[in-house]
Amino acid sequence: MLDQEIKRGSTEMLILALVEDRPRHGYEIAKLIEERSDGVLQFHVASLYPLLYRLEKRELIQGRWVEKAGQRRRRFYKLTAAGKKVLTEQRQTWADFFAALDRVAKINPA
Amino acid sequence: MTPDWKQIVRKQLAALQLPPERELEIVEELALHLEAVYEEELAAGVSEPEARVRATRLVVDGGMLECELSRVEQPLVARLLPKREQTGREGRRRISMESLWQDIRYSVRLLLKQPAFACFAILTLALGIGANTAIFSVINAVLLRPLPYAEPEQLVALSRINKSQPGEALPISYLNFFDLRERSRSFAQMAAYHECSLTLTGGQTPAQLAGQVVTAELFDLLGARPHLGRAFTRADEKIGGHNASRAAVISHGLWQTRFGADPQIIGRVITLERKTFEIVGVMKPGFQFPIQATPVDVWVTPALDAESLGDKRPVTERRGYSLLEGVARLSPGVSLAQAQAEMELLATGLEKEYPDNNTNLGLTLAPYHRNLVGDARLALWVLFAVVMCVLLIACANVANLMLARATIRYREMAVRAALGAGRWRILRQLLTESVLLALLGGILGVLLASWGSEVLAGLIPDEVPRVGEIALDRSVLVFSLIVSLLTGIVFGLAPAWRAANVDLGVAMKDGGRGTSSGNAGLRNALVVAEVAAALVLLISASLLGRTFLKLQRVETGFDVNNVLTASISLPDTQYSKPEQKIEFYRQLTERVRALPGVVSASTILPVPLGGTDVSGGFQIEGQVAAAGNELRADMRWAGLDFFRTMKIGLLAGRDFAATDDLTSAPVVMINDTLAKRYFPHEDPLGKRLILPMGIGKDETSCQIIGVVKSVRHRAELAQPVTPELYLPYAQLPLLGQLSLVVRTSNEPQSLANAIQREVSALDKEIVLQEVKTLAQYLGNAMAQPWLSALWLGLFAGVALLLSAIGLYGVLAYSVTQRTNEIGVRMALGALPQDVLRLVIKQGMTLAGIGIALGIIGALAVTHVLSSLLFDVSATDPLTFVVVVGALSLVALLACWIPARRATKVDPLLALRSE
Repeated sequence: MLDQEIKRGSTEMLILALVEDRPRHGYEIAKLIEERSDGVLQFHVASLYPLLYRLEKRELIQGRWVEKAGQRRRRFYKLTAAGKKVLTEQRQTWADFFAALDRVAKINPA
Repeated sequence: MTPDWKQIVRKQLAALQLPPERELEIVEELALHLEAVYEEELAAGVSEPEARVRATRLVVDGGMLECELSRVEQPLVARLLPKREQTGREGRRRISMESLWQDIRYSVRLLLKQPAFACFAILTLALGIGANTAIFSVINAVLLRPLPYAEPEQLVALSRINKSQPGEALPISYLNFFDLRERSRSFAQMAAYHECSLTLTGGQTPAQLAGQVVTAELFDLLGARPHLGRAFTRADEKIGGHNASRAAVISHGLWQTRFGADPQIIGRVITLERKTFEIVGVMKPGFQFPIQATPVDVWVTPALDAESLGDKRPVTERRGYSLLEGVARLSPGVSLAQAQAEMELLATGLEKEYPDNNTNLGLTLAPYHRNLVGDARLALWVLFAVVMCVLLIACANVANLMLARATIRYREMAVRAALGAGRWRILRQLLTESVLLALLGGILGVLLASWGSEVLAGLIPDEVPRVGEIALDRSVLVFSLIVSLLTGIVFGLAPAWRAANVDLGVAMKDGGRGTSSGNAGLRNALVVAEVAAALVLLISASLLGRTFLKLQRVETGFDVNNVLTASISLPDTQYSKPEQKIEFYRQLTERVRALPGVVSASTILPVPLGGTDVSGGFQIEGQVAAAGNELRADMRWAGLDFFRTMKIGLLAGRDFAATDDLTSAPVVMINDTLAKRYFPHEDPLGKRLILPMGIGKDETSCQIIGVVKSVRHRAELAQPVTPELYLPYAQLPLLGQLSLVVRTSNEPQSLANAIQREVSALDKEIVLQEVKTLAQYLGNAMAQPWLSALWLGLFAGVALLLSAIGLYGVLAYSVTQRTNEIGVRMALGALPQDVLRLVIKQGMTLAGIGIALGIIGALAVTHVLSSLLFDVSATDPLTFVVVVGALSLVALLACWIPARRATKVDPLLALRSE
């Protein structure tokens, strides 16, 4: 079951981390994940948006329609205070986890 | 033109029925995403159509989006559900119920999206489950449901056997039965019974009642209490026991129809066979004994038989006169084997005490239920095995479809797994789908069966007991439900298990095409199994079909067309003297001959093909039979002109003449089977046979005056012809019962009324019974083999169709999967016929393996059918060759269509899609 927790936790954390420094829209988030992981991690539309809505429902992120001059309006998601707290916790958990992995299996996460 | 992204997204969400404002938001957001992808692809130099496809594919993905959204958002169904606090165990159960509900909804939506797949799967399953339900309803009624008597498992049937020729169950005589009743210790109670037809007179018109002579303990033994009055006692078995009249118990049905449910019926005196009976009891509604197609109207005691006839002792006092069937209830703690051992001991005792009548006396016990059902048992279980086989083939087909779908949905499963859906969760989702399909198939199947079992009941011959009880009752419905659930799990498990074990890395990279290598092996195995099973069924059906055809060609030896038969029973009281019976039948035959439309008329007992035969022992004068080697023959009592009426050829000697009467020397005619068996090297004419019967004496010496062609009088047409004796009724009128046989120049049934008028003119209280044509008797005799062949043929046909579809499906799918490969081959110069050969070879290899396995299976299985076959070996090479050939042709056809399609692959298109 750890496996499942990791998967679920990791995808959540990825999104929370990406909207930490500034609000981003869905397409941007998907692109960033793909680019920054060199294509190893891919997010499917059918899973990305439902996950965003779920995080929004849990009030970890907050979505808002923003209209910029000359562009169509887009929905931007920003991290809430509760989200920040969860992100910090998750980062710590993952750090601990990787440290443990490294001690045991000698892997060195990038 | 830019695609309408909003429209594309909205279509995917339609089924969720989200609140409108929320739907607008999601549609807008996702449409923007698709548009961005589309433009990015264009910018990267991808062609417009390809860019459009790539973007669209992000949301059109087999329901993934819909499924995931339904978990976060609030679809209509969830909004309609009442909200409740979800805490503790209750909450967990609720969550689990909700996710089950979610699975079901999702499954329904998926099925609605693929109506062709859903219809095909449901229909296939309905066929399989329906056939099982229908046959099970028959098995349940005939074999499984306990008999409607108290503790029916303790009831056993008792019959006599001839130890030198065991096998055939024979009746028991009154005196032997009375002795057994006194001596045996194994039984709580014993009873015996025989059928009799009773004419009820007095009051309105005379009526012919189905009667049964039963010994005193019968009702007690069955645990049956009367509705009114009392059951029989030992005193009732004798004339003038309790009453001046004999005692009778009537059925509830007769009480209502004939006596207007008169509550004062007990004590009423009625006239049966011109003897007076007092009604002492009325049975409860629904009580039946024995269980047979025509329910018994009235039960009487051996007092009916306990009267001297002229100068003869009554049958109740003649040890050699066997007519009873026995039934007994085992004492508590006594096993069937113990009781059987006791019966053997008692039989040996009776044989020693009465060597004249009890030579070779054996007694045999069988569970009463099994005895009642008899031959139907094997036929029904064979049929059940067959429909189970059909259901398994149906399962294999649907499993194949599901596997094909699973391959397509591989990526959906991978994404679900990536999102954290556990293996069990995915397995459950897929099993929900298959069980849902199976239940829908089951519902349709039960509907088919409710119609089918009516047809089935109508087609089953009357001889199969309890056919009237066939119904889709609770146990049948429970059976169908269980079969449906199991079916869903059986065909769903393999595909679900494969899908639930997706390899994320492979699946995600595979661009949605999925991997099919593992599934292909499983699918091939399923098709091989289907072909094998279909072959076994086809061979079995063909063997039965050939049996039926051979039976149809069996020469009965006489002309059954345009012959009417009707049986007549003269009451012993009025016709006690032999001369009276002879005179009645002589006059009646003459009157009937004079009727317009009658070609010739005669009398016979027992009626040919009627299913009742009299077999008896005899001796050849001047020869001493070796001990235990009794000469036996079927015996028939014939009137003048019988052979001419039946068109049976006279081979030697002469026919009976009017001068063969009570005053002249006794004569007998034989068939050539008897002549060949017992007079192999000599002329039988003029020889004398000693028969253990006579008028006023115990045996009669008869001279053989004629030999006729052997004919098949027995209703079991598959049996070899038996030696047969014909006795002139005018010399040996032992019974008052005879059947008229009338050959007519037009439709025989049209004469029935005219003949009844002639009978009434002689005696107005006598009623014609069993007015039937010989052709009808022959039809009844053919009914069982015809039905076996028909049903098995029907189910084998379904099996063939299903397995052909299965083979077709596998190949069609494989061709789709191999489009690229085929394209490459053709681009490299392969000709259409090469491609054709490639695909057909793949299909025929599967069919070939299936056929090989099927032949092995058929060789192992068909011997079960041996007893149902006639003149065809269970391993008949011709049948095997023809069926294998036919199946191969069908398989070839099933391969041909996808193979043709493969040759149409355009190499350019195939390669471009890569």
